[in-house]
Amino acid sequence: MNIWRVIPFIAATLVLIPVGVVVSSLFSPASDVWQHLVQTTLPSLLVNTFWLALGVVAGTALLGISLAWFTAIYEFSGRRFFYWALLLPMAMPAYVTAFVALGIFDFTGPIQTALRAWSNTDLTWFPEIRGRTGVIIVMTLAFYPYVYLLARNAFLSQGKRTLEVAQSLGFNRRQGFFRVVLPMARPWIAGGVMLVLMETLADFGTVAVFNYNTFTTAIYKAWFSMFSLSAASQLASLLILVVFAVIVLEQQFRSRMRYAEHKRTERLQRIQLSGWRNWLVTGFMLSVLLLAFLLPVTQLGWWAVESFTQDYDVGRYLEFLWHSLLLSGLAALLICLVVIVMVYAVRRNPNPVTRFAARTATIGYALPGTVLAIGLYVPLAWLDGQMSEWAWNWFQIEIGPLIQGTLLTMLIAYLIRFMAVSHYPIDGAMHRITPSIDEAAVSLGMHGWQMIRKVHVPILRPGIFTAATLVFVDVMKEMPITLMTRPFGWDTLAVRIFEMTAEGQWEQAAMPAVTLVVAGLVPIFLFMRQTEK
Amino acid sequence: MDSVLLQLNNVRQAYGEQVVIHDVSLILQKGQIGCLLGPSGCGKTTALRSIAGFERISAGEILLDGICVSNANFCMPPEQRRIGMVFQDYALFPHLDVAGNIGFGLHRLTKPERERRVDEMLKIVHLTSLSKRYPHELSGGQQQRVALARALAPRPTLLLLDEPFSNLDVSLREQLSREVRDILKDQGITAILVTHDQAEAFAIADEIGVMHHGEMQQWDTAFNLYHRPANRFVADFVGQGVFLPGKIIGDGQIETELGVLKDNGTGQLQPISEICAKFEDCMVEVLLRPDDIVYDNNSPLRAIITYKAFQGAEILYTLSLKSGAKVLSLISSHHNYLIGQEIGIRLEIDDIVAFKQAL
Repeated sequence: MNIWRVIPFIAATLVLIPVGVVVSSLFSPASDVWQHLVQTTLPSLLVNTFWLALGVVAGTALLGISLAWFTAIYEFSGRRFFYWALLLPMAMPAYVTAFVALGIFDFTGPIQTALRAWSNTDLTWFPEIRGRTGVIIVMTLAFYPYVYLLARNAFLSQGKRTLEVAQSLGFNRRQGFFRVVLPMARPWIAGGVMLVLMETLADFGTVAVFNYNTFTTAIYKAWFSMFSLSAASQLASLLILVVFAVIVLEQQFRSRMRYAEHKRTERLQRIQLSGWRNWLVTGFMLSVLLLAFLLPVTQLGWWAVESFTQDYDVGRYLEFLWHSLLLSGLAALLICLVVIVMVYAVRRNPNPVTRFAARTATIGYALPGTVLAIGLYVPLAWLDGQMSEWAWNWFQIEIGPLIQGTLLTMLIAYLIRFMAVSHYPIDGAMHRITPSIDEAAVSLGMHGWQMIRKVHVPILRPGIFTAATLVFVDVMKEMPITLMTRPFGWDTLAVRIFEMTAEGQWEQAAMPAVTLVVAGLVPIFLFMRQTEK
Repeated sequence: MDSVLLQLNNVRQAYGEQVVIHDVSLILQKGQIGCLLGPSGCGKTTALRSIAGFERISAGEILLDGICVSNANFCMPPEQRRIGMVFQDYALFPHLDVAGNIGFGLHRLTKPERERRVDEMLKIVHLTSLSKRYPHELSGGQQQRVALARALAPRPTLLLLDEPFSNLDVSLREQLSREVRDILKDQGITAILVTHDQAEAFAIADEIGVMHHGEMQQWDTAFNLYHRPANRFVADFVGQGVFLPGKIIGDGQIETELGVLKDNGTGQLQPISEICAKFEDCMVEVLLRPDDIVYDNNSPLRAIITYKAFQGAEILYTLSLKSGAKVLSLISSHHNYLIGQEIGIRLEIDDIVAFKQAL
């Protein structure tokens, strides 16, 4: 078991290497490109990122909290449906929502075209969708489910009861909501908002579609247009500082959430809404769902059908699909294996150091894909160099790079980024195997592999299955890492979407996008089935 | 006579087809502690929540201090009823310390007034030294007391307690229920509590209502529930006891295996006409509590011990009579017999309770 014991440390080191590489570039001498960036784009990057973060946080908080409050506490027409349907936008990668929104509302889109035809004017008054507000709205619609889900948990477990306490102490419902329910749910809401903030900072696809420059797009351009690795890593180092500030905040809220944990007692009767209030709430829910999911999906479907009538290259589509599936499958397998070993190592050696290593390994999720790609480039290039030198010195053979530009690079990057995703369900399943279960098995005459096979595996199986599904879908949707580390010409569905949307060819991007949305629905249905039990 | 504080008149509560409580009525005097007792799902919590105003009622009316607060068409919001409530899970605010929790309902007072009231409440529940602690730093019993203080701080006209001790362990439960009763009596609080634990109900309440299937079976004192149950369910649910078959042989007289029971004039035996239409062949079941059968080795009545449960000062013996019928007897543990031994017993019964034999 001694080899297994070091796995958490290897995993943690893997996460820390790109972080270290990127952060250390902060202290390296400024290049010309960097000088140029500071003088030209850096101020606007900062301003753009700031407003984007602020807007999306405010938007998702407002939307997530209000939707959660109504579905958790009130009874209204269609409540059961909206209760879960409001999670559906989670299946939409933000960059898909983004290009659909552009396709619908842009100058050449159906809305403006129809309005122009109808009014016979140039529509100069029509708001520019490609602006800051457009990005904020799209990201809000894509990311609000994080806040919705966490706030709903808080409200379900304590909202109604808390409201009753407030009422029994002489407050009316509105006072009760603002004075107690909201303050009490703050840790959950903040947790959701922090997740949104991380996603926003890490996002590459959406801002790329909108041509809205933030750190992630700037990193990409610095590397691929200006060919300056140092400028790219210096930009990445600034981004990572912001992200770490968010992580620290998030950890703090999470620890407070633990103290505030509430036993759920009984299901309390929901408050019935009637008359115009009922229809107002239903209408609100329906419009959110329409904008965030139903309309984009309908438009995508329409485009997909259209693209087929225009002689769609099915062969190439199948190639992208195969690449995506292969990559996601390999990543899911690798990541789950590593995480299972890691979780076992922590269970066998429950000392603070091992625990800390495992926790470090899971912060990789916070690393934006662009940062990760940059941070891995340098060490992997060095490793490749070492290996070819070694091969030359010892065997006089010339070998090219063995890691760079292969699937291995991508898998390592995915491993770093998505270990956290599979850690949560697998660790949760492992916690169900209490020490007394082991002892019971031993007292019944089982030990070693037999116990693992007959006791542990059946208990862990659902957790592993969930973990693998989550990783699979996440890797499929992942854009920046795939884009920046893939072998030349090795395109996946996400890459295809990036390339087609960059040229404004929405129809060509539709079929890959539909595929991703369908894949994205799988974990949502899994989650629903789990929570209904 | 005190004045009436709470009155329920034929209160009925239904969610659509499903009726949760039927025609529940009760009267509670000012300063009294009432209790709704019953197995889970009997509707007692719903009744309590209707009194609080968290649930609407479908028929009947609830009067609080002479004012109608609920009927089929109207439901005064809970915050206007001046009630206090202690919740089963306490529902303390985790983001506020003890003083903050207790002072939460005092939002209409000025700051110094509020502080004075919080200090006073802390003293009453003996938590002065813990005022700066947060709920998760308190034991279950302490959390309970904070919940009580929080509910009492705004001086409610009526305090409602929903299974207030069910989350505590048994020893603490007894101690705390006594403490709560003292506090309520001391402060002259009218209260109504819901529980499924009869020991708790007996320890704390002046008046107890036994509920079953959403119906109020009997609203009475603990003594009467035990010794003068209104029906078989109450007789079964409250206390221990067995039913011994008997036959009515005359006015106020029942013949049983243990001899002829005579109504001693207190009139507790229901008029026979209510049990049977005719004297002849009227078979009944007589309720025998463990304290109705006493040990007397000189008695000609003999019984065989089939089971014994040692309870400290006393032993609860299960005895088998000649016919095979089983009775219970609570006997001082000085008389320690073995299972299988035969002992002499005698009836010592004040209140005869009999029901028509179930067919």
